[in-house]
Amino acid sequence: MYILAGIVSQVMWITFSPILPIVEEIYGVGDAEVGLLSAVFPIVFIVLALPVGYYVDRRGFRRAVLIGSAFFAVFGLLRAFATTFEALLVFQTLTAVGQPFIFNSISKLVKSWFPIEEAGLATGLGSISLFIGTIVGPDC
Amino acid sequence: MARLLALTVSTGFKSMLLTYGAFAFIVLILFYLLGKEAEGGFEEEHKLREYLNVLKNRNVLILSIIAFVGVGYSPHTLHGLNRFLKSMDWMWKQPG
Repeated sequence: MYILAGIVSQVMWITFSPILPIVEEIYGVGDAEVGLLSAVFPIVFIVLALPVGYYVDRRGFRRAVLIGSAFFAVFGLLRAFATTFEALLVFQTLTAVGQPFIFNSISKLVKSWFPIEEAGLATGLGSISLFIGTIVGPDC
Repeated sequence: MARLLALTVSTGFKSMLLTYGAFAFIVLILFYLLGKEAEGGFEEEHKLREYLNVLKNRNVLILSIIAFVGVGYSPHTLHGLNRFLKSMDWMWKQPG
């Protein structure tokens, strides 16, 4: 289930990358503006990584992954209803809020569910989702 | 990439975003129903002071500054490179 959440995270991030010229045409914006749709994910991650990490420590991985998934579901869906580029950027930024909740949960998941000698394997399995999402996103 | 373009072109931009949103909703519901916290795996108590001490850590601050500068600098460099290549009349779209 965690891998699925990780895949969604990457899919949400990479949604616009392969279709930048189409987005430019639909919203009438330039390269720099449309590039922000992908750039907001690392920016939001940097800003929220530490506070969300603190939250995960206090509240546990299940609640954190649920919050992250809720951001993806709600604001990911609202992106479809954005009539202006500004609205699309706001929804994309709010979608990006979900990413640190997913990624920062992996260590908690590994610690909670796996013995220490399998920590590397468990982390590897969790990390796979990032790359699966990056592949699946543009290909599905 | 070709398939996403195909999905976007065949069903429309909005439908593509709706499809991704629906996928995210399904995962949210599945995780709500099936995702569990390990028994006894969540007993830690962390104090806010410890967290603030992490933020005050010199290495964390330096790393954050580097990350912020990197995030701002990379798109700027790529945008400049893109304009330069366009001015040279080079193909700027990814082939394949």
